[in-house]
Amino acid sequence: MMKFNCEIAIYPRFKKGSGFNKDFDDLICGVTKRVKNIFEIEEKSENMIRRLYFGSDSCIKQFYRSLPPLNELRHLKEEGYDITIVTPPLFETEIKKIFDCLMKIQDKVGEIEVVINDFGFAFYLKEKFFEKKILGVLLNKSLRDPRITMLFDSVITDKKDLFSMAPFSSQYFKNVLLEFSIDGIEFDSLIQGIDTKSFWKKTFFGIIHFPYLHVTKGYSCFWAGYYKKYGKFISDNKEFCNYDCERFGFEIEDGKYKYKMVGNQVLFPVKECVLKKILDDDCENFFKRIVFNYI
Amino acid sequence: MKIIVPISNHQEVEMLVQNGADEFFCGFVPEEWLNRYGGLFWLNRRGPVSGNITDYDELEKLCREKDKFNIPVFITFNAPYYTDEQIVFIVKLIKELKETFNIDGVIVSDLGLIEAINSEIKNIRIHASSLMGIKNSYFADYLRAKGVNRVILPRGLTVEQVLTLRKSIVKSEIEVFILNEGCVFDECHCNTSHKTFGAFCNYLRNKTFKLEQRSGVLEGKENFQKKIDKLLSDYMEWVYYVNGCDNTLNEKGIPNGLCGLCYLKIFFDAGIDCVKIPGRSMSSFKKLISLQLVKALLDGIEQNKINESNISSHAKELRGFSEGCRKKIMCYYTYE
Repeated sequence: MMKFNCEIAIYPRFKKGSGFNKDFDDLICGVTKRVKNIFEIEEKSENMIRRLYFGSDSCIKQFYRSLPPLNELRHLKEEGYDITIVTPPLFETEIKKIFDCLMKIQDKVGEIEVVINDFGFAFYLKEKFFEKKILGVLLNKSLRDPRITMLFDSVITDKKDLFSMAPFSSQYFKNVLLEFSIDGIEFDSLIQGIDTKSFWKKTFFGIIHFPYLHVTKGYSCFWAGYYKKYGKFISDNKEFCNYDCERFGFEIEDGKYKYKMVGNQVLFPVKECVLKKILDDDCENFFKRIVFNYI
Repeated sequence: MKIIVPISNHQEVEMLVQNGADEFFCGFVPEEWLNRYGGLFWLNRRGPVSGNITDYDELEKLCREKDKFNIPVFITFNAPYYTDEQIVFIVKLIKELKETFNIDGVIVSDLGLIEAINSEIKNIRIHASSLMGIKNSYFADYLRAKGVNRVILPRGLTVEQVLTLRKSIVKSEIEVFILNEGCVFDECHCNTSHKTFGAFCNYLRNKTFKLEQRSGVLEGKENFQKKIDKLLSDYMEWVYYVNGCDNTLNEKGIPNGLCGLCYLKIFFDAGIDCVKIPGRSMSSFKKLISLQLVKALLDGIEQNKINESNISSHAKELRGFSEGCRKKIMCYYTYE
């Protein structure tokens, strides 16, 4: 099993069949939503898991759904776990509600880290205090199209390095992130690699998601369409949600690649070697944390 | 309420102005960009040639024409992101386009580029692209402080959400999509490329979707699978409509594709500043007929001949009532 020289964090809601090392896979699939087996993970894992992720980067309904009761969160905090709350893109009327929710958690549980996936929310939180503010993986616009990136080493040769540079490599974007008081930046385990040389390691730190790439996300949710007679998939249909994404998903096969469609997202699993190469190439030690985003 | 229309060459200017275009947008990809970055890293969301002007002579002619008719033109720089070197290149290019060709503004999607334009170029209008995913006034207000004059709302909002945003975004103009090109996925969070394989959503249409049970017990399996098969079939039909029914025309010669015409009166009354007809790579004919359709309805609204209760029938009559219209699968918006 691979030993990581950085912090390990998990979304405690794993399923079997992640494609990662089998032992680790067997280990984490036993974890329930309520983190009952967290101690078992630590016992068997070579890395201590000290940070837990709750919330959702893609769905407001799942954001609320995935939050454990405050007393459980407080208990986890008392046990020494750091807590990260992940927020999705937010419509006008949701911003204050989510902020109030975060404040309530912080009041009852203690300091929390917040992952932001909406620039409006980042602006809203500009002067608000949290343990850390992280720019979420949805605001990282790096290319995650396996159809293209898988070809980089064979067919396409011109300027492919541009795709391993981050959207945040510009000085101008750095100013934006400083203005929003961002501490860390999330990345997917990009097939094309991640060139961390141009990042500002002293200013921000990197967090890498594994094993799923966030390929794309719908406005509407496939499963909510099940309950609508007309206009099933047009625009925001979350009011028709019945949490079916927790029970069902799709594997999409195109003969070459296998994607997963879960709720409103299409994801693509990458192999462990992709993560390993990214970390090996990160001689600047930019990445300080890996988040296992098993679904 | 203005109508903004895509333009690809100077010969379209007079035709589109005479038929009601108030503003133009286009892409410009100079040869230097292609020499530097090849065909892989696109300067905007379209391929280097398709839907873009690629030589200075054509741009000069187009800008001469637009000045003759006093119509503003906005150049699109809406790639998902740009590197530092690319931002320097683009800022220099925008300065040149403004000083030499008198372009009126730019449509931008990268926060870094907006920051750069705001600090390096004076007196240029900036429109925030729908790719920025602006769904709240906090983001719009932040952008306003950075010199952004107009926000283009993303596709995928309900009519109610558009109206809520109109009320809360008080400092910026608002533009919304009204006809033709759609996106199955959220354009702000779609990290795919249209290069070589085409739009990812369209690409998925003929792929195998295998149902996976993630938890719980599947009751009445056979019946459930039938319902899922029907839902998938509906989904694929919707994807087909969003992609303009493979870019075809209906029996009236109107481009198939998404449509928000039934809500034009609501948007007009709410004070939406501009409606957009996307489709930079459309033929001149498609641009013209789409514009005429929107303009006819807008004229009727302005002359009080068309109201909220009869706009749907007017729109359907002008456009041609279709199966997609009946099933509401070619709508840009829902309104409950």
